Amino acid sequence: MIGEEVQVRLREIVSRYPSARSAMLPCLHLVQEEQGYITPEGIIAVAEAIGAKPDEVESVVTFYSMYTEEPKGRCVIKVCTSIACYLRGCDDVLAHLEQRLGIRKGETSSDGRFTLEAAECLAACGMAPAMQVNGRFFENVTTESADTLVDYLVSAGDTAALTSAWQPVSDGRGMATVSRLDAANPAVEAVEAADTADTTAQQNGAHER
Amino acid sequence: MGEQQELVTITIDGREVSVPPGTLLWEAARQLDIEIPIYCYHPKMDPLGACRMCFVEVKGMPKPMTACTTTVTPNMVVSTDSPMVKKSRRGTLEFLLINHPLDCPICDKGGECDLQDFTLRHGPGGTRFDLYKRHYVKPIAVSDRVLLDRERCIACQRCVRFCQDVAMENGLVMMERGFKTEVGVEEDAPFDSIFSGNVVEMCPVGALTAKSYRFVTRPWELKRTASVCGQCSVGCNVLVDVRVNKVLRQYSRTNDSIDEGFLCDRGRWNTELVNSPQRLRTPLIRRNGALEPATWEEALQLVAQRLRAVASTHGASAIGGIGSTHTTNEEAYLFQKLLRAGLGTNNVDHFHGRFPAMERNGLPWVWTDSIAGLEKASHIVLLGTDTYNRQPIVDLRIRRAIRKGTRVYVVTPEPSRLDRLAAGTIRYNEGQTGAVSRALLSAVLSEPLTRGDFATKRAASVAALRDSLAHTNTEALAAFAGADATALRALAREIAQADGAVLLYDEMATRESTGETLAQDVLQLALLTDNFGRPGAGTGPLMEDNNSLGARDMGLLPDQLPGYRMLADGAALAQAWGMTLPDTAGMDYDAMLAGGVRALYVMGADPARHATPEQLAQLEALDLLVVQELFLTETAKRATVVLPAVAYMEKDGTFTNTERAVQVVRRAMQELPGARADWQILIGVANALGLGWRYGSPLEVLAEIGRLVPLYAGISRRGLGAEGVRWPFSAGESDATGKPTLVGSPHLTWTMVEHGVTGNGDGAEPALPRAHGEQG
Repeated sequence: MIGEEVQVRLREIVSRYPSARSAMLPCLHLVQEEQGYITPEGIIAVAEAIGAKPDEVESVVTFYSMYTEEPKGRCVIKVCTSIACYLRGCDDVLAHLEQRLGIRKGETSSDGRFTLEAAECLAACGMAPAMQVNGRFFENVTTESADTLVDYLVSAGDTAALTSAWQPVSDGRGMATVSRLDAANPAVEAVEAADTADTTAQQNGAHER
Repeated sequence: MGEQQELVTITIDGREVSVPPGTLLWEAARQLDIEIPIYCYHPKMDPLGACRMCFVEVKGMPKPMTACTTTVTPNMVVSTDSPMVKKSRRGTLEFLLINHPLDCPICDKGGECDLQDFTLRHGPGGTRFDLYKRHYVKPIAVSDRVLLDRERCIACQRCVRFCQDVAMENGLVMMERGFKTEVGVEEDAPFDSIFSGNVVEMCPVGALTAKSYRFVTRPWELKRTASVCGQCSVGCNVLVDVRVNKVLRQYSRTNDSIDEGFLCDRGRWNTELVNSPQRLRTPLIRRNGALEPATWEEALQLVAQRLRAVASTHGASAIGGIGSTHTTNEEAYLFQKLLRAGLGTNNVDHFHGRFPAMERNGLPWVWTDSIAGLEKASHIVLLGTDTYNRQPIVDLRIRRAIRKGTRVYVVTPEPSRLDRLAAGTIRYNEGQTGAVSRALLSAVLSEPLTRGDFATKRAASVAALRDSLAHTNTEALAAFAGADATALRALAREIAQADGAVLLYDEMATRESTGETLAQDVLQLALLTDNFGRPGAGTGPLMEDNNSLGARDMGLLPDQLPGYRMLADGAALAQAWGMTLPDTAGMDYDAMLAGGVRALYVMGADPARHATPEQLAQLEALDLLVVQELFLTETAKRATVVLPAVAYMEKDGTFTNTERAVQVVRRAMQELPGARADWQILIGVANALGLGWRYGSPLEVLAEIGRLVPLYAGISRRGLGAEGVRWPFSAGESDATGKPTLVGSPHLTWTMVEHGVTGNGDGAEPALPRAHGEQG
């Protein structure tokens, strides 16, 4: 149900653009956020807000993969399968998660908890393999760290907790990494140490020049 | 004409061509008769450059260029058949054919398919993509009338752009992206547009096909006849596609001044009129209370004998005729000639709007501008119209104008499909179009908003008119009509300040209770605000049927002769016909149906359909009711004699559309066995009456019209050409090509409207247009 409050926010978004139609994408994000996915009602609300016809909005919704017209799980896990992640073993991670969650990629668990998806490049190639959980990045993922994450998600019980308990930890790159919670993993530590050394060397090099 | 444009000269395949700046390479090549294959491009839509089929090589450019998006620049050297171009075309086609199914043997498009044709002429002849083709469920219905076969689609987006940019209606859109791209519809936005059939014709492959045409024929089995659509008053140019005496569809035949190559679904697929098994195939005569089959000879003799009997018992004035708004000009002309010259009565009329008859051959009901002129208007005001359903292709032209920035006001009792695109809408109670129009006029007079020479020269008359409307001001009229007075006043101001406003009303709105002065008020409104006599400004009715205007032009009126000659001016006609003509005005439509006549001759009309119970009783009480019809209509069921007629696809003639364009209608198929064209029936009746008519064909009737009817003087079928000519024709010579020259501009000036185009103004003081007999 698109309430008056959402309508007000839609109008507010539209007012920020010189041409109302330009507001289509942010408006769609809003209604998707509100209802979890894009409903026929959401399409009509957006069409009315921007003065377009519903069929034009529908066309745009189907074009972009970030919009969904199907209800999804409360926790959407996207595993990047583009080339950098592929070289660093995303297939293993994806297969492991499929087994662990008991669903195939593209499916939603029967309890409506998890949706597992394969994603095109998430722009985190430097820390491949990468995945996103409800929009939050997790990088340098291994089957073990993926398990840790799922353990946590299952035990936390509510996706809302993800935000507070899994604060991004600054590693100079501004992204939360699952490895921080899995310090016992020597492989990850080694990679991280190497990363840090690289960074330091680069900084020193810069000074020298 | 506008300022002379400097032309740009370019060379294509070694030949020079000069075209205006901004011309696309594709169009420039076409002028040299050089084919550049296209899929996504359509001359009536903006270029897109999606299909990559139209590659050409431009000297100095490292890569092939798309001819549909590249405009000419001076001294450009273009090649359309270089090795690079040939390789590009082969490559594009190889890609387009990757997923295209081998459906050609059963595809409705096969034989008129651009993919087939261009593959034959430009294709690779083989493929390297020897893989599985994509498969979908086929076909899926995207609407009640159109089927989509997604495997065949080459994603050129013509259909999508037509729906979004031309029709501006809900319809087809692109779904998904990349290789998954397909055409589709949104569930909540059904593809139910009256323009939907155009996407079937535009589709360069067989992806979109018509339900009614599916698996019915091969295109090469069709007999195609260039004609004019007879479904409404727009008169779109069509090819009538007939297979073994069955009309399968009408296809567009582009006439840029009328239809721009688009048709509505009614025109395209409504073939019931001619194909129906309910058609009458034999004359019927009432015997012992029931209609029974009879021979033509019997029927014609009976009609003649009974007409003579009524005339001798009750006099000629006891006979009346109701003509048709569907039949050709030739038939309308013969019908009134039969009544006037043959039977000696002016009781001739047809079902039409109420237009005040003007003094001195005036023409207050004509659409002074044109369909194409709508695009030049700054404002279009629609009064009581329903263009979407009644004149769809005019509606489409209004949409094009809206896209160009024209402000459209929809002033109608009911919401319409144009509302969403309109600059404003004003609603009022059913039947009050006249009151609303007078409210606008009153606002113009009271503020005052009058401007221009016309109003200045008639200051005294304008003042008198203002005084006469003082007690019915805008607010009072608006309240009476249930309209918003403030909105009406605002609209009046816009009209008065417009660069050019076109004010259109529906012909049938003049029949409403307040419609008596509608035509006159709207005309005055246009004249007093100087919206007149130039392209993109004017006024007029949108007519009801395909030949509503032609029926008037041909004199199916009780008080005017063909070409709107007054009865008193009928001497020339009488002499040519070799008859004496009745000089008193006859009974009109309502008077004839109110029991004014004993014998009624109805051609191609169905008065019983509109009749009140009293009128129905009168119809049944007639001594003689003759009906020429295609079907056993309500009127025909009450007839004494029914004469089976044929539809417009089965006969030759001319129609006059709502913007005065006279166009040639051609016989596309054999007449239904047993039925006859109305002109043949009329000649049969005339000769049974002993009139000795010798017309061999409608051409001979047209020649007589060209000699005797002022507005049509000089008309000839050859002169009308493929796309028709808008009256007035010149009173005399044709130009060197045999095409009649026009009197001045086809945009009528006030003098022409006031005095008829014969221009017999007698130097009297200019006056405001007033209904005949109304005191100024």
